[in-house]
Amino acid sequence: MSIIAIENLKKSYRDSEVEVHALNDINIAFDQGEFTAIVGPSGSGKTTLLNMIGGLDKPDNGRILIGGEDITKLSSRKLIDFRMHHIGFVFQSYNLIPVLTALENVEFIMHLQGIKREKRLSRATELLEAVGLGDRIHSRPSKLSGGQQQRVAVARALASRPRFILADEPTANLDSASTRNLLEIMEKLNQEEQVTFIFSTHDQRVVDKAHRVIVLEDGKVVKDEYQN
Amino acid sequence: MEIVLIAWRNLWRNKRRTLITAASVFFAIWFALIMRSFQLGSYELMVNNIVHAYSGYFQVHAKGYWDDKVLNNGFVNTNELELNLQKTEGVAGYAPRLETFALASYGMQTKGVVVNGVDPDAENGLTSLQKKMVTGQYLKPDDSGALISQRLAKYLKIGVGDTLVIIGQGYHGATAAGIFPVRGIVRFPSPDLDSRLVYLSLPVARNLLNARDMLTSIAFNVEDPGKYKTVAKHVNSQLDNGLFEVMTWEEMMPDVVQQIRADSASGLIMLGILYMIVGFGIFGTMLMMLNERSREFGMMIAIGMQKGRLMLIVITETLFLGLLGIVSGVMAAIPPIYYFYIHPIPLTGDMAESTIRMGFEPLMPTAWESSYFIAQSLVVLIIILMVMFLPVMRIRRLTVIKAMRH
Repeated sequence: MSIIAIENLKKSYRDSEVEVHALNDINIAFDQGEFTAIVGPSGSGKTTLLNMIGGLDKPDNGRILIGGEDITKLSSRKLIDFRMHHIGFVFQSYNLIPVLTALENVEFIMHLQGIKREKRLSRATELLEAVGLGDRIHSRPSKLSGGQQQRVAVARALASRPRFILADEPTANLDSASTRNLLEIMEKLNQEEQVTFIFSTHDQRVVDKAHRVIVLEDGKVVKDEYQN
Repeated sequence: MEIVLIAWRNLWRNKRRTLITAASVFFAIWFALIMRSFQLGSYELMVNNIVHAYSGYFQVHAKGYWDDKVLNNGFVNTNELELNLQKTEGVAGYAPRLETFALASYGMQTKGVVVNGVDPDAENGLTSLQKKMVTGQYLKPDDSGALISQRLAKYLKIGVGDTLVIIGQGYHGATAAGIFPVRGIVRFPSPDLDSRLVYLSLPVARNLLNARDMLTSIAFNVEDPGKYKTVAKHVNSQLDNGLFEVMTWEEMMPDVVQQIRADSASGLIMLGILYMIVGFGIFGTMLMMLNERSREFGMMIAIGMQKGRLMLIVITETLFLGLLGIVSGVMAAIPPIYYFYIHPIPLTGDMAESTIRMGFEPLMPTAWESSYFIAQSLVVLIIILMVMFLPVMRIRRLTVIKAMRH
């Protein structure tokens, strides 16, 4: 069974006087353990789609079922709770809490979930070790490189044991080595722990690693294929 | 833990800005406390001067005496009345007085004076009259001599050992005339009092005025000055209200109360302006902080933080900022306020003269009481709470997508 099912999703914005159809009747489903890249030119609707799946924005029409629950019907408060428990986010510009250390950033979401301190600490340490930052757990974001910060963001996204992770252009600000390193980590998590990743990206290196590639154009799915 | 920790660390993200904002709160509260302490200290001294120089905290008169201060409006002091007053809770002491106007004369000089028949010990307990002695000896309970105020003595050119002549009208129109050796000279800070007071012992005054067992007023001292109105009410309840009236010093001297109120109001307006400036300062800091951290707020809500919790972080942060300024401001204000409470600033020159002319000691003390420390701190805290409304509303209206695009 699909963990995410998107049905007849529509979203349009008014840009000055013109109505822009950011998403135009999207129907897609994602299974557990997928490693999917959503690609397309700027303005094709990648980020809007990711925002909809992540419950950060509401569609004009259609349904988004996550584990059978239509998140478009949830109140803003319930949606925040839903995101905390079921969705992991990795943003383009890292977006870590600058005043917390790497360990505290990863621990933060577990604190919101009400997990006890000892458990939080041990899982956060474990995750940071898994992304290769076991020696930087007490560093604040300002003391970490872009690649390292994005790895912390991945660890943070995993901390709440979400059903899937949404990553909006996660490699956009990274150099080649950091991109390679991050992709290896995410691929490993996907293969070994069946973590579902959905990316929006322009980066061919990410597309090459993806098992499934969905191409969007003008808010429509123009291609959806699996690759070896 | 997270909320307090994040709030505390956020506070030090921009150290310079935090320190500047906290410093503005610090200086505002420091100036406010120093200013208010001198203001309240001056009022306290004024009241003390009035209460302990002459009036007491409140007085008992026969009904109608205050409107028409003549001997015929006096009352007979009975044992029963004395007993009632003695057992009233909160009364620290009282001074019975028989007061009238008369002419005092010595040699070629004559002047209208206030003749005050007093119980010397009781009067000393209330007004520390003995301490005001400049020369000579204090009166004994049935002394046949007189004490006269310094300016009056100067005017009459009379000294200790000379004989003062008093001529006036006694009870029910009887002639009152007598001669009294001057036992001593007392000095009052108020030029008005200092130029017209003559003290006699109560039995001698009664004899002079043909007013046996009579008094015109009883002035009271209280154990706790903060509760004098309650004690006055207690005393009032012991008396026959058809015959007696109890008046507090405020009722007897409404002009002084008005003067204090007007001065206090102008001080409070100054403080209001000061606080408004500080309020806008903190508001500016909050505005900058909100604009800088919009994306971060969006991210926190995106990953699962409820808006209420985020508001709590920002509120805690602002409270930390405010408390930092308030606590340090209060701590820094305590030493100078306490020092000037113990060692009031002596006024000099014209200022001292005008203060003396108004009847007060030429000193500028501070007030040493917790109430205005608490009040000023609370006012600043309330301003900070009002300023917090801005981030709270911003967070309430925040949409993740817009915030993260910021």
